[in-house]
Amino acid sequence: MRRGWLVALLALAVAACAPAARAPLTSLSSLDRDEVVIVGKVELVPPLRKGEQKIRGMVVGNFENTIYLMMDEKLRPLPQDPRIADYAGRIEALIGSTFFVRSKAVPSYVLGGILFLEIGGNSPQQKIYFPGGFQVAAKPGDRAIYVGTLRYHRDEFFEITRVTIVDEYREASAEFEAKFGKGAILRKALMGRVKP
Amino acid sequence: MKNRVGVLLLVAALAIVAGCSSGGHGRDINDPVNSLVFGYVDMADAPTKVTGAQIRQVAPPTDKPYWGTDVKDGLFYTYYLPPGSYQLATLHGSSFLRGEHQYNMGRQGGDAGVRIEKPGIYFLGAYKYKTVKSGMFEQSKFGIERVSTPSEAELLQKLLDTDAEVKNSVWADKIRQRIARLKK
Repeated sequence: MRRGWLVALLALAVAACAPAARAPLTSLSSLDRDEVVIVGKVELVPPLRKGEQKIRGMVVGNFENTIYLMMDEKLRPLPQDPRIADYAGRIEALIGSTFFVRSKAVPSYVLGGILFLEIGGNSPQQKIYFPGGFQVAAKPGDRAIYVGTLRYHRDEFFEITRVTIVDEYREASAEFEAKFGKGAILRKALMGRVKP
Repeated sequence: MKNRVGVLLLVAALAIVAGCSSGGHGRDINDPVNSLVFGYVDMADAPTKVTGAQIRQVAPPTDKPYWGTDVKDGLFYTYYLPPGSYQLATLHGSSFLRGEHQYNMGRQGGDAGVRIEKPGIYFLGAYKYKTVKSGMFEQSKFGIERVSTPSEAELLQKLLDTDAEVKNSVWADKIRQRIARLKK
C-alpha cells in the first residue's frame, strides 16, 4: 500500500512541477541571439473523432487535441513511461495547426509523441505514444526554420500504421509572414529520420 | 508476438468498474445484431485470479465505452456487442490476503482487439499474465502474452457447457456450428 501512496504523491508532483514546454513565439524581436523559431505541424490521420478524447474535471495543462512532441538535443529512446524531466522542452502541438516555438539554434530530436487520450473521470489515464527518431536540423545563425508536417496515420486502436513528413512550406511560409512580417527568412529544413 | 503492457492498481473498491460498465447496456441476448466476443487469460502468475473483465469500445466513440463480461475460470465473454471495434480494457480480481486489484490494459499494442463489421462470434485470444519489472516509484506493471492453449474450440465448448443462459439462447446453435468448423 505504501508504494501506492508514493505513486499518488509522484502523480501530484508531476501535475505541480511539470517542466516548461517550448514557448510559442509572438515576435521575432524577442528571440535571443542563439535562438530560432521552429515552424511545423503535427497531423493525425484520421483526426480525433468527437468523443474519442476524454479530458474531464479540473485539469491543468494543454491536452485537448494536442500531441506533445518530446524533444532533446541528444537522440535517445523515449522511456515507455516518460519521467517528469523527459517533458522538458516539449512542443505542445495543437493537431492540425502550425506551431511557432522558440528553441535553441542547435540540432535537436523528436524522441516521440504523446497524446493524453483520457484524463479525469472514473477511468484510468490513457496515453497514446507516437514514434520519434526525427532530427530538427537547426544550426547557429538560424532565425526561423520550417521542419514540415509530421503526419501520423493510425487505426481505431491507435496503432500507428504510417508516418510521413510532408512539405507544406508554401502554406507555412504564408502563415509565418502573416505572423512576423516579410523581413525574416524561413529556412526550409524538413525533419529527417535518424537511427538511434 | 507483441505483449500488451498495462498497469496494476490496488483499489479499495471496484468503484471504477461499477461506475462505468453495465454488462449488456440493456440489450437482449437474442438481438440479431449482437456479436459474441470472448477470450481467456491465465492468471496463474498474477496476484489474484480474475473475477471480472471489461471490454472497451473504441469505435464508434461512445460515452459508455465499457462493456462488462461474464468470467469463468479465466474465460471472459459477452454476447451483447453491436458492430464496432473493441479491445480488452481491464481485468479485476481480489484475494483475502492481497485485496482488490485492477489490471488496466494500455490502449496500444498487442492483438486483443476485434473489429466487428457483421454479427458473429469473435475470439480475442488466449493470454497469460506476466509480471513486468518496474521501479520503486513506478506503478506496478504487467504484460499479457498470447498463448496457444486453450484453443478457441475448447473455450467455446466450455462456454456452452457452463452457461445455461447461452445454452438456451440463439447462441447455442451458432457456437456448435463454429466448433464444428474449427474442428474440420
